[in-house]
Amino acid sequence: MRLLLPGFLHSARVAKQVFPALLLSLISPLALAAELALGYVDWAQDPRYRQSHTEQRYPQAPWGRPRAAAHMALDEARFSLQALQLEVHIEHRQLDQPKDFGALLAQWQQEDRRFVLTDVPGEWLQGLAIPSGMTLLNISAEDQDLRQGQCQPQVLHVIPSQRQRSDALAQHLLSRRWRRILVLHGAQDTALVEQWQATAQRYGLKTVGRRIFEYGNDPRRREHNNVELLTSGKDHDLVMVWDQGGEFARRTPYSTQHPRPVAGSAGLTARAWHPRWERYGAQQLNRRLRQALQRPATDVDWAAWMAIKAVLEAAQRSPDNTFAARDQRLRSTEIYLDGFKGFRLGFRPWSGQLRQPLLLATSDWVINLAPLDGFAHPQNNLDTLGTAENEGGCA
Amino acid sequence: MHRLALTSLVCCLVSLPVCSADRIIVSSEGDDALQVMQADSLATLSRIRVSERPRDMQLSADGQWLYVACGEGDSIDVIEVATLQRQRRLHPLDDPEMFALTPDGSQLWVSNEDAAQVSLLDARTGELLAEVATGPEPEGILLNSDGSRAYVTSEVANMVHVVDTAAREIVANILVGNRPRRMALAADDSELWVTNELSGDVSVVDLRTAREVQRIRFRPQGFRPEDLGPVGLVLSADKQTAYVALGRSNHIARIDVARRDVRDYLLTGQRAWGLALHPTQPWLYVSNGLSDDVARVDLQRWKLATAAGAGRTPHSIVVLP
Repeated sequence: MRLLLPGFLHSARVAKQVFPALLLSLISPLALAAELALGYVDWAQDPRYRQSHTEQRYPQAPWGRPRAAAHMALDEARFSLQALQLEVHIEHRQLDQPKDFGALLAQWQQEDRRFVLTDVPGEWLQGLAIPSGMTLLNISAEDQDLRQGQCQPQVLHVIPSQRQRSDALAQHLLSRRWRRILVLHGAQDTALVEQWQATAQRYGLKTVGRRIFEYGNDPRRREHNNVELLTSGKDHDLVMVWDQGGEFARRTPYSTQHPRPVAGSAGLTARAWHPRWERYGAQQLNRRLRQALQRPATDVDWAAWMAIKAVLEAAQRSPDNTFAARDQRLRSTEIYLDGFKGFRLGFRPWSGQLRQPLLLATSDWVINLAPLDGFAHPQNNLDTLGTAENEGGCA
Repeated sequence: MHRLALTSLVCCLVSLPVCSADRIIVSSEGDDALQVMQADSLATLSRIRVSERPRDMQLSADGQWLYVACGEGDSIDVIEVATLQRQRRLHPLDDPEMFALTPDGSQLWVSNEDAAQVSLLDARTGELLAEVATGPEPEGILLNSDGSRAYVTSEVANMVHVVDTAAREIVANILVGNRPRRMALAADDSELWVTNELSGDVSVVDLRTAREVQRIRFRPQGFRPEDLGPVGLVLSADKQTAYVALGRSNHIARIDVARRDVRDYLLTGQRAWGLALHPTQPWLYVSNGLSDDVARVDLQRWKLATAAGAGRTPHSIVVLP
């Protein structure tokens, strides 16, 4: 999509040799139009976007490709870009295999296309050789590794990390005084469980049991696939179920042995966005996103929209039009990013993670907003969610 | 103070027409109603049913009509001030939020948040006369004193659009702070002051060059920059002092306009946002959106004089003539 200047501005640009003074007085002190070329990459065979998966509408999984949300962010900035004579163009490339990623980035760097939105799984980013003078904005990979162990300074993460999500949940549980937690997870969900354990330690929540579930209905495996049996035994205040796939988690609420609430991957979940979030102007944004996407907007859609908005905000407030100046502005603590979540957002220098509130929500309503009142941090209360500076990062 | 209150009380008891400006009216978003209150004690006198979600209110220049934008009622309700009865509705409109009356009172400029445009309406019939496209979520709208320019904030584009009201088109777009909301004109209409809810400050725009020239920042005690959310902004009649409601930091600020300098702060209630000055008394009214009340500030002593419940989510305040 190319955002074009209106006709009179276009012809004025052509005529600028002839009427420089007129142009100056008519339009803006910036006589020359500047350009900002953005890249957007995703993966054709990405299993997260298989229709059989998206149509399930799992709470944290994508409900469809988020590209229209990115274009909507560009469209929203139309007036400000015109006033600044900034021409912005997003090029979309859908790759078939991870090995093409490096070559594409190299090509884009040559074309001066230096800010790139990446909607690819975490493994694509791990150990990726990123050409110098480029910044990637990850909109869908939540892997904690990308923010800590495998952290790359050239990647900014717009989608929340797993740790931000589990910290947000913990704040709500503490505010309810639900401290004894029974943890259920699949064999493949160890990364989620590790983050939950770090969270539980930070917030002083007690794990009364940890059980591994299996998918399926085989009665011989009922100790592992039957929710009632898995939640029997020692008493607890809440069942925390971690299930990346979502299929097991969604049948946990109301199937437990004891009448206990469920959180994690089902029940109460921590989200970057929610179709029924209404405060801080969210109602209007949800209406626009729904129209652009032709479906309700969820986390990844918000992240795609937010990533474009962040780059445009940086470009608009940058002292000049070089990549270095824009990138510095994007990462600066001075930037004001409006995520329609009531706080000023910005990127953490130590992990590249976007500081942001999370919505604690059921399937149809937002129950609470984290950070909750009373969870304070010496610098920024948003830093009560996610790893702290001293827990390791890109540094 | 006591004498003032007493005079006002006596005068109201004795003969209504002689005592002016002794009542205020508050729109409550959550109640679909307006609340009429005593100007000094803030005692509730009556309630007026209006269409759904009343927000901005404006008085006609002759003081005879009160216009009320009702967002979810898709209407601007028109109240006769003498009787406090709703006389008509300008309807249907697309989610009107804020609006401005032309100096002659014949037309209304209305921001339509969802449609990303402002529309010009006939104030008597509600007939649509023109539409001008703006950035997403147009919010505050203000006319200069001769009505030749309309200023419109776009919350999402972070700009003020300058509309030539005769040509009915945008003639300038001015980048300001983040999430700009309300505006006021200073220095003989050559300066535009804009509250920026997200960046937590006020932009001062020089309208002769159409550029932002200064940012006024706030530091109320005990609050962080991210707690600020300035929305309401009014200037005193002599244009020397500006008052800004600082949202979630629960304070209002008083600013010396010429020096562009914050003089002091005052706690008024939770999420202070709507502001209105009394035309004759040194009183400032503040609506507090999260504590559901309206406060009256004594500007001479810079103290909270009184506060009272004002329905669910009080939005705007108008002092009745």
